[in-house]
Amino acid sequence: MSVPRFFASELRLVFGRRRNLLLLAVTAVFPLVIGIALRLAAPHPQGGQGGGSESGAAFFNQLAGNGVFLTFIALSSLLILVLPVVVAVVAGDSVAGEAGYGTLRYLLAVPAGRSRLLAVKFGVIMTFGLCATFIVSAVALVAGAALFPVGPVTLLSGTTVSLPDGLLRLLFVTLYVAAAMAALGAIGLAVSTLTEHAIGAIATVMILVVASEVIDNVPQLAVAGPYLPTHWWLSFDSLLRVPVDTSTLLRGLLSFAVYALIFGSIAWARFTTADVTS
Amino acid sequence: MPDGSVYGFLGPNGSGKTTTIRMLLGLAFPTGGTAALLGVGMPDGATHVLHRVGSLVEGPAFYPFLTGLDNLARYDAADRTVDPKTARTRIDNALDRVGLLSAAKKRYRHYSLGMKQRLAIAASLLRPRELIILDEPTNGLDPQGTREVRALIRQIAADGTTVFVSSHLLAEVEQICTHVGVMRSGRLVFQGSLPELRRTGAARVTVQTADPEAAVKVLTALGLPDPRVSAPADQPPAPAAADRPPAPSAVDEPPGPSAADRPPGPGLGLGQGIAEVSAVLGDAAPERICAELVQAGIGVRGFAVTSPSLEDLFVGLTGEGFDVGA
Repeated sequence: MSVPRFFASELRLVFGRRRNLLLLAVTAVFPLVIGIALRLAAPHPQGGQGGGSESGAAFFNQLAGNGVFLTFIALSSLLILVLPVVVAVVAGDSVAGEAGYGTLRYLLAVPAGRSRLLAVKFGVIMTFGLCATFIVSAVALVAGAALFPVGPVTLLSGTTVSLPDGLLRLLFVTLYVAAAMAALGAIGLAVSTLTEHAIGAIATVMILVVASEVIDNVPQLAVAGPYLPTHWWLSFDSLLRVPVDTSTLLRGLLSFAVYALIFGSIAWARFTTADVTS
Repeated sequence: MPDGSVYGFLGPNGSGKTTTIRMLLGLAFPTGGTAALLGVGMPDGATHVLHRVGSLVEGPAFYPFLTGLDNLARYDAADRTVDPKTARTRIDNALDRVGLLSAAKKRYRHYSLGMKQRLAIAASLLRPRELIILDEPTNGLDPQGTREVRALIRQIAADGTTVFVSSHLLAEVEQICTHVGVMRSGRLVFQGSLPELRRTGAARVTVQTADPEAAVKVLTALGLPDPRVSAPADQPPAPAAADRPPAPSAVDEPPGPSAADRPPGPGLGLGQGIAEVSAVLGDAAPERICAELVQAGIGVRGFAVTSPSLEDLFVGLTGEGFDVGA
């Protein structure tokens, strides 16, 4: 009864901040820019611009034939840096920013309840990440439809499925990416409980993301790959095959769940026992 | 602290006032011992008892980019035990009580320090409370702001809410508090009503005379401890009194010729050469002291029994200057 009210209030706060709205605007502009650039550079089928990853490159080849693929291109491009930044800002700021302003002590004296406050904060982070991911998909879908032909979707495995089937797959892809961002949000929340400097928390999360991506790209460290937080982010291409590569997908989701659980526990353990002295 | 009282929580900076308040509010965890708020153990009871308590801890804290109204609405939304339907009314009432209703839609960023402080008090008044804890509520305020806050505290207390004010401003405590607790180096060194605190200070008998040495002699002979000589406040200190080492050695000194030669009664100009001699009164009868002084042929210009100021008592309890916290 009161949790929804507190949650709604926090949601309004996060979505009402100019900085956060700017972040969402940036995530909306990127798919548009990518779409226009690809349209100008590759009017004919062989428009390989050299995407960041294998699946990215595969999407690029498909794009000229179907605008829906702009969504997958946009998601895989923005997953490298832009979406993690958006989530890191909101997650890193969640508790540390509150501590920095001193509002944390008043929330706790209300009393908001430490576990409840943390749960609400995590809920807001997940919602924000979900919102940013859907903005990317939606803008890319509209831009793709406007700039490229749209029709039955030829998947990466070569099978062609109907457009509604393709859009359903897009929905699942978006949810998968949102799950990845939720796991990152849990990491950000944990880091945020360790400091009262929001900028420090945000930077730390970004360093973790970049470090994970770099390690994931070093062949000699391939053994560590599957355990890295960013390793499974781009595995959503499993959804674009017939049959769907469920084992990869599930391993990805398991990785997100484990990361969310571990870092959620760290955040909780830290936040429920820490002296609030700011 | 008794219900309905205004409790002044005193102590020098760093004596543990804020830390105590943090522990009472469940913000910090004691490394040893226990804390209880309204009879409920903290921090475990935090979610059960804290809504009965309003607080202002270490200055106001709000989001600068939100309005005063939105900031209060945010704190109100975090409270799971209030009725959301009455939120707007309660917020308006709280703003009205602190005189901020007209500035409700202003961003907190544009508030003056006094307004910020009052907004923080408004946050503690969002719902009826049994206890309001205010940590240095007048810190950094100008005299007007201080008066506003003081008036608010009186008003809150008049409504039957117990108020706990931490402060190091003695004048303030003297004006608004009925009870006091004094902290020193993390320990409570006194707790009781203001008259009780006053009683702990020994009353002193003060004699204004042109013949301080002789007066000290008489007071010492009567067995009054700690005799001192000083110039009265309304004239420059007499050199003899100012340069004098502490009283006990003054007693050993033979009376100076200047004092002996001077006739006690006549020849006393207004304030000329008058010094103040004082000693702890103890159980002695002031009338008898006065009589003894006159009998000894000492001209008594003024005679008074004074209680120590709150500041003297405070410094006596908490230590002087660099002793603090040692």
